Amino acid sequence: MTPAEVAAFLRRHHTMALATHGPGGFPHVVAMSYGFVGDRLAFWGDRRSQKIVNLQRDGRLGCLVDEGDDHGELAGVHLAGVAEFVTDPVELAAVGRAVLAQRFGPDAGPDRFPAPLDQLVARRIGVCVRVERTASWDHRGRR
Amino acid sequence: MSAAEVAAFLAAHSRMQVATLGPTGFPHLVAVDYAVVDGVPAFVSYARAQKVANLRRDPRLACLVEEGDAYHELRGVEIEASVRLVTEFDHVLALSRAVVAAATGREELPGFLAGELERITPHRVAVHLDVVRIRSWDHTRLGGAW
Repeated sequence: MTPAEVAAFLRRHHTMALATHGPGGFPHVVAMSYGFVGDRLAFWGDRRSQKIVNLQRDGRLGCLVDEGDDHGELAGVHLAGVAEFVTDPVELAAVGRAVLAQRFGPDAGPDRFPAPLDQLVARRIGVCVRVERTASWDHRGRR
Repeated sequence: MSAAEVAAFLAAHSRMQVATLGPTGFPHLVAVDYAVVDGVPAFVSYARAQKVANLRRDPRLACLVEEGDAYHELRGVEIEASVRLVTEFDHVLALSRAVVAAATGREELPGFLAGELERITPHRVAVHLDVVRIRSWDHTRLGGAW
């Protein structure tokens, strides 16, 4: 995919697999909703969650967004990146809104949050991904 | 989930996300199809794939099987494991067939794969997991509460 196609692909989806370095040396992988702050992929999580604790120890992460079941339909994007933390309450709320908008659309109201936004901001931290390397594939139409 | 529920959950799915440790220190993620062997997911990969190169260098991986869209529907299993790589032809071919069967839900191979699996088997390896830790979650039990 071209950079523009990668960007469009990521904008079409809202959930990724996120891999971090676990405390015991094993990778740790979770599914994460993401959004865009400007053109940067971002997500947020509870400050005590394993993924956040991992990233604060070692900021290197992997993100995978993929689609398709049969090999002839597979398409995906893999990002190797570094976590940049967002702690400012105003910026953190913006990350939360971006994730909500990506998931439910730009008109999604705050009732879509799992708790009042100020409560979420109080216990969460945001992560903007500084992309170091992008890999992509698109097998559609190649069978 | 209980151990039996984890086993049933793994048997009910056939695709997972696999994280390995990449050469430059970044985690590496891919989606793979798997079959359950002795209660544990196993998969087949091209021997020259990045994930296999990673696992030869460091056999530690994590895999995630998850279902559900909305938060209150999410159920999943994450497995931390070290891997054993097997290259013996009959073993790799048998696991390849099992993986296809798990994905299609049918024992017989689709026609277009009939000779294809034998042809590619020499280039592939079977990846088996020695499980170190299993985490699971089932948000359907939260009763709609966050």
